[in-house]
Amino acid sequence: MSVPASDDAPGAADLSVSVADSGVSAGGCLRTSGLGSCLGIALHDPEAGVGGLLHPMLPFREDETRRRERYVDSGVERLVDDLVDIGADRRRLVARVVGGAAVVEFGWNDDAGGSIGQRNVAAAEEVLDEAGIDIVGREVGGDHGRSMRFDTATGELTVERTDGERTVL
Amino acid sequence: MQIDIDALETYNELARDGAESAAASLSQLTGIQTRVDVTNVSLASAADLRYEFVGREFAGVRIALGGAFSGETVMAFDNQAREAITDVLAPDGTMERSAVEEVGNIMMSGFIDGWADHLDTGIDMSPPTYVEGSGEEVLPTNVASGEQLMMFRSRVQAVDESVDFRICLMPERATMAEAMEPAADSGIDFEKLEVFNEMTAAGSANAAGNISTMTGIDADLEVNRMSFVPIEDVPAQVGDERYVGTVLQYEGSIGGYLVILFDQPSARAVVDAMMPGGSEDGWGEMEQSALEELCNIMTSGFIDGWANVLESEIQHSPPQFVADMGSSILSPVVGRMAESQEHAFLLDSTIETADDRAFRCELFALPNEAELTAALDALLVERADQLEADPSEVF
Repeated sequence: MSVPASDDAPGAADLSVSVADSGVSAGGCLRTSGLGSCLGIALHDPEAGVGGLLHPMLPFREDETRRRERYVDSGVERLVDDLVDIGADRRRLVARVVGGAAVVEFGWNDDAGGSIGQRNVAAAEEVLDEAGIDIVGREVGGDHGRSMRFDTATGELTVERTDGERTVL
Repeated sequence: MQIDIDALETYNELARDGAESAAASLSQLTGIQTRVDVTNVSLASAADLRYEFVGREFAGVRIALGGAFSGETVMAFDNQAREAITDVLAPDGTMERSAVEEVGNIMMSGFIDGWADHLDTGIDMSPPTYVEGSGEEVLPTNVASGEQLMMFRSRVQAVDESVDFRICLMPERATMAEAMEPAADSGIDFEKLEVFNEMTAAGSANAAGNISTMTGIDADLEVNRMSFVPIEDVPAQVGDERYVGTVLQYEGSIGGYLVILFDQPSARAVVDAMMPGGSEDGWGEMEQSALEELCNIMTSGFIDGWANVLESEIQHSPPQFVADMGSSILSPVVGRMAESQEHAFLLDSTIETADDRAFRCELFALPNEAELTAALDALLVERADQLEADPSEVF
C-alpha cells in the first residue's frame, strides 16, 4: 500500500515505508528499516524536489497477481508513475540503492545464482538501466542489516548499518 | 470445523483494511498521522493472548457484534494515545471518558464496515462499553481459560511512534465456521490446527527445559501463538530490536525455517553460563559455536515433537549464527518463502524467566504453507487424541 503523497513542512514526522511497499513525498523525509536481503531504492527528481522510496523483497515479478511493490521490476515501474503524478519528470530521476546484504548464511540448499540480496542488487541495476535512471549512490552487499532515511527535498540519503557504519549518499 | 485458507487470507486483508480505516478516522478526529504496523490472525490459548497485554496500561472500548457476524471487539489505546485523544477532544479535562468512547466507536465502525460489505449484510454493533486497566482487563470477556481462540489483531502506531493502539476482534466459533467454510474439500481442519499449536507449545516447553539444563537459567515461562500473516509482514512482527541467535532449515513431511533469537543480554548470559571465563564481549568463534550448540539442542526438542506426532522424519540443517536487527534477519528467510507463498503460518514462542523477564528468547517457526496443510491433512485423529491425553508420551 503506497504511503500517500506528502508535502510536509520540514520537521514533520518521517513517513515510514514497510516491506513490499513504497511511498512518495514532495519535500518530506521517508525512511525504512530492517533491510537485510531487501533493497531500499530511492528515486529523486532534484529539480522538482520530490522523491520516492521502494522496499522490495525479490528481483522480478513473474506472477501478475502478486503485489507489485514486492518486486524490484514492478515496484520501480510503480514508483516512477507515482513520482510523475506528484510532479517529477522521469527524465530527471536519479537513483540511490541500499541493502542487498547476506545477513543469514543458510548453509543448506543455498540459492542458485547468488543470495537473494545479490540477485536484488543485480535486478535493480538492470531495471534502472533499462528505465534510463542513473544510480548516483549505492551502499549494498556485505552481511549487515541497514536502516535508511531519505530527504526528498535535497536527495540526501543516510544509511545506518548494524555494525555501526554510517554513510551519507 | 474446516477452514478455507483463501478465506483466512481474505479476512486477514479485511482486518488490515479495517485497521487502516480506523487509523484514518483517528487521524481525522485528532490530527495524529498513523499507520497500521501489524495485522494478523492468531490462534492461541486465552492465557497466552492475555499475556501480551500484561504490564501495559490501556483504555478503550469493548463492542459486541451481532447479526450476520457474532463476536466481540476491543479497541485499546495506550496512555499516550488516550492523552492525544483527550487533549484534542476533551481539553478541559472533563468528559475524557466520553471522548474515548466516541472515538473508539467511530473507529470501530470504520473497522467493521469492510466486513459488512464483504458479507453483503449489516453487522449489529452494541453501544460501546468503556474499559480501562492494566493489560488483560481490557481483553474480550468471553475468554475461557484453556480454550484456544482465534483473534484478528491489528497494531496501529503514530508515524513518529509516539502513540499506539490495538484492535482485537474475536469472532464466535459458529460465525467463524460459517464464514470460513471451504467451497470444496480443500480446507484445513481447525481442530488439527489446534493440535499442531499444542504440539508447538509442548516443543517450546522442551526447548525451555533444554536451556535450563544447559545453562542453569530457569527459563520456565513459555507463551505460544500461531499467527497467519501476509508474508511481507513477518519481519515487522519480529521488529527492529537487535538480536543474537541462529537460523536453520528443516525438511521432511514439513519443511521450513526456524529462527531462534535471544536479546543481547540473554545471549550473553547463556554463553557465559556455558563457557565460564570466556571473553567479556564480542562474539568470537567459540561463543558462536556455544550458542549454535544450544540452539541445535533446542531445535531437536522443538522439531522432534512435530515429527513424532506426524509419524514422519523431519531433518534440520546445522544452526547458523546470526547477530543483527530482527527484521533484517527475517528478511532473507521470508524472501525465500515469498517466492512460493503469499501468507505464512508463523509459530511464535517466547521463553523467559517468569519473575523478572530478565532472560528472553524467541522461537519463530515458519513452516511451508502447502506442506503444513498436507501434513495436517494426513494427521490421524488417534495421534491427536494421544497428544491430548498425555503430551509427555508423544514428546
